[in-house]
Amino acid sequence: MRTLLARPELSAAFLRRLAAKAALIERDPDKKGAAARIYASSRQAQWFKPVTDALKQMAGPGERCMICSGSESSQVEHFRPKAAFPLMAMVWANFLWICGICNQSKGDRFPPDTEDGELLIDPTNENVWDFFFVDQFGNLTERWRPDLNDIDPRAHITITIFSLDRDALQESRQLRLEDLKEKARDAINLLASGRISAADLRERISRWRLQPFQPDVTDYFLHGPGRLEEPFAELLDRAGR
Amino acid sequence: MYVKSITLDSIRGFKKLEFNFQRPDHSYAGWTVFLGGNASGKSTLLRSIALAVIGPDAGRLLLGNPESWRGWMHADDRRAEVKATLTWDPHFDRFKTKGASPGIFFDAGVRFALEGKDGGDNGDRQGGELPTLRAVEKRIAGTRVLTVIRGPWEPNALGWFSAGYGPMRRLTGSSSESLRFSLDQSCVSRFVTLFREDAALSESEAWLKTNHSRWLESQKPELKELLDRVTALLSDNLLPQGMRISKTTVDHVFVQDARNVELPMRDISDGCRGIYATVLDLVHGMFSVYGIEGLFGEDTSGRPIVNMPGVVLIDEIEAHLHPAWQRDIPEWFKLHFPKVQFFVTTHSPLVAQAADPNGVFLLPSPADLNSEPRPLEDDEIERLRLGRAEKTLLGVAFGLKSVRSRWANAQIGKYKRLNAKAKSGASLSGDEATELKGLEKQMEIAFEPVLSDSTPLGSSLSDAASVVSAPRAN
Repeated sequence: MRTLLARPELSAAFLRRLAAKAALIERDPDKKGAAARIYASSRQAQWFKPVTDALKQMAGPGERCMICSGSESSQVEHFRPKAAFPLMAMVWANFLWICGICNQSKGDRFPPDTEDGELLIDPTNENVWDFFFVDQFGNLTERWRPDLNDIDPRAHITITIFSLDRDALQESRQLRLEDLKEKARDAINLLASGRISAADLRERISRWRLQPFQPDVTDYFLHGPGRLEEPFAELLDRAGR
Repeated sequence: MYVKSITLDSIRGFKKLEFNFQRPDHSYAGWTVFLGGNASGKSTLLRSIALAVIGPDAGRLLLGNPESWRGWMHADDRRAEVKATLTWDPHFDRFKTKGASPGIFFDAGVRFALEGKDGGDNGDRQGGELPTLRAVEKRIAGTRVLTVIRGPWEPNALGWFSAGYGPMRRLTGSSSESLRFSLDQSCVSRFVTLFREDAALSESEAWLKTNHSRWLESQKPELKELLDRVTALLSDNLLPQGMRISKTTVDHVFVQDARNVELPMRDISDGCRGIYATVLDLVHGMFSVYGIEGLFGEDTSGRPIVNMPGVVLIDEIEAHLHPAWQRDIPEWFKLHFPKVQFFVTTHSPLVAQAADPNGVFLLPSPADLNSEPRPLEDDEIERLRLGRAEKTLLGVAFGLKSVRSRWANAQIGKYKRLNAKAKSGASLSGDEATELKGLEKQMEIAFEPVLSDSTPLGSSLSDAASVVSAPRAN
């Protein structure tokens, strides 16, 4: 999970087209079947391209999965599954861009399977770092909720449903974090010895943030709450932000 | 002969399966792997290929009691078919009797069928009807065209080598019934262990010892050559710890290890015996099919090879093998049988890594209703061939979420929880603080980078494989 760009506005004409499809689903006695059919044919169609384009733009460089930030993504995902929520099958706000592993892991689940009181965290709609942090080993970790005297239940269920604790992800987050720490320390030293300027440092930092390798880690440590941890606190302090 | 493709229609758990085994360069020899969880149908697939290659007559013998054949048919279907497209080489494979030879490809298929009339006319004997196993025939203008019975299915086939091995590849201990099959002169003997768990591969060692006795008696040079070639092959780094064949007597084949300890083959470890028995059986089978002329050769670096083509099926090839050996044994087979098309099933990423292009096929678990049997894509195979075994286990081919133990993951879970609490600023109890300290130490080990130079086991364990496969210094 990471902070994403705001969901772009799609044109009014395009939204009308989506709404027309949604109306078709609503009129069908077999809403679930209609949702699957209409979505499948639309997904293949040329007119649907603004959706994938906008989602890729939101996902940022490398078009990484909006959920795990690990793999290259290749699928449009319905945050609310179209099997349980056929009327959401053609709604722009319900579309995410996620990888096959996360998608397969989630399947058709959407606990507690009602529209109200959803448990899964929608990274396009919520501040993900209110729910998670990244630890020194690259584990995406649920935040502690003193009011519940427990870890955050929504964060926990999101990690479970998408298998965000899988070995492969932890390992790449850890690699990314180690790499980022090394880059930060080097840059601090270069600045201290006068070989680069604060402006150079700022430019480096924005370049790191654009690298499409576990962007969740860069987001957390260079932009999110992790910026208060060393060596990133010193780095950002010296860069003058 | 090679298998170009296979189609299963309503065979056991497979409603439909279609695999094409041609490699991107249009060749067939090499390593092809079937992956899937337990009960995904890997053994069924191997046996189906076997049935298509050896035909219904040999198949009936190996399958035994027809009362069990109903299980070969998917759910309530009344027929189930295996069809293979075979390819052949006139240089090695001959058709019997006169008749036109087919082109490069021809079909071979068998069908299980309930041939009685549909419906309940057999009253209380419902379900008592026994399936038949017959050839799938093709008719051209009313004439029965069945090329395959003059080729690979012919009882005394000329060429057309094929063999199949089940997961139990023992040297001794056949039941008397299985022993009967092992003595069969046709291809049946080469498939007994694939179909019957009570079979052993004792005949091939008996064959070697008999030839030894014959040579003692007759001193014929061709027998000497056979014995020497077989010994050289079995001694060419096949067995671990530098074990090699030291002598053959009328009663035993002996091996000697690096410490000069000499043992009869039947007293060495299970893994060694299984591999020895399989290789010996392959050589024996190829010898009976092709004769000695051109059977043995050397590769460019002078290592002994068996230079004839054929189809070899091996179920769970890694049984009893140390991981280092699992990694090396496929390469050994590929190097020493360069013209053989191997089909193996495995649960080992180390065995799967040896797959050749277009050589990995996935069978979904029976519980997974959304997936179909499929070949791995080119990029997926490249990842498997080039990657670490651990990554392969985490990848699409094996699909593990974690390669740590459940206990280790539970410790990680405890650490994350206490660490979250500590980070939130909530105060930890004395016990909790102590526990977190202990867990932090464990995490340092759990998340130690894989390629770290400081891995303490790195040097002492070095590579168990070096014991296994390093060329012998002379």
